[in-house]
Amino acid sequence: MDPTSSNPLELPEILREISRFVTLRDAVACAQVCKAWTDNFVSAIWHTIDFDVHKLIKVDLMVLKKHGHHIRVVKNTKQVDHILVLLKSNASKLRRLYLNTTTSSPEFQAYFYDLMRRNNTTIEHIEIPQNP
Amino acid sequence: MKVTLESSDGQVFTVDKEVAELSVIIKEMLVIEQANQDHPIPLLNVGAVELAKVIEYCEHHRNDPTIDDDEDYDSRKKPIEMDDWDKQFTIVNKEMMFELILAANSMQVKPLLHLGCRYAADIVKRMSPTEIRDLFQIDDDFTPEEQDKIEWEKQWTKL
Repeated sequence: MDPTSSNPLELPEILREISRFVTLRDAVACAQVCKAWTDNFVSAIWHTIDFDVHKLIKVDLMVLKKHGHHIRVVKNTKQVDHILVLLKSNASKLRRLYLNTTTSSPEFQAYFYDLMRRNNTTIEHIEIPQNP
Repeated sequence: MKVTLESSDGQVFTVDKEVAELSVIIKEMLVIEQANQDHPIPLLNVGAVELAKVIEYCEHHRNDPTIDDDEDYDSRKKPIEMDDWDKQFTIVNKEMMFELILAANSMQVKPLLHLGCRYAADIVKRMSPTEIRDLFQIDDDFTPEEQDKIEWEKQWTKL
């Protein structure tokens, strides 16, 4: 890092700041600009997973494990498979988890508790819908 | 109480202490140098033109609540409110804004840094990687193998 740099786009902390304000589509484009940009925009791509939008289950295990530590927010978690894929990704820095299911199968609960155990130092908010 | 600041090119600015304290760096310096404020605080990376602009920003935002600067970016969800004054303030060319980003970064004026980075995010909006490279004169340093890997990894966002 060069403190006298005259180009803010050469500073990783600036790229990281910019990544907070781009859309997912733009983050994907930015991540392909050059290696330094990849490093700083990939975390924005993985920051929020919405199971209604992202087919995380179809993602290759290698890719999943590589980026799972970037995941912070998970939405529309509905099935055992969703919890399983998060476990497989080694996600360990989740902050917010939104469940959208009223399932209470022992299997779902067991995996859910496992996921919570792995994320217990970072999790801030869990939303569980009320039983009808 | 007044504080004096000196730009890298030797120009001295006198501002209210609470205005200067929007800069985390200056705030910390003032704590350390409490007893010794008879000389201006030197800002070695910030020129007079940029410093004047930073001070103008800090003057306007002197009463804003301090933002909670989380290293994570949930703030993306609720974008910082830009008032008319901010919109007017950001009507500058790219070069000036980049100088301001650098100044805000070295002085750690967080809200101004965020404003500048939002401006930069707006520039790259809906651009392709090639367009971004051309605009900012960035070299494509990926090997063909790495390019393949990215092609393949980015697929998941479209699945």
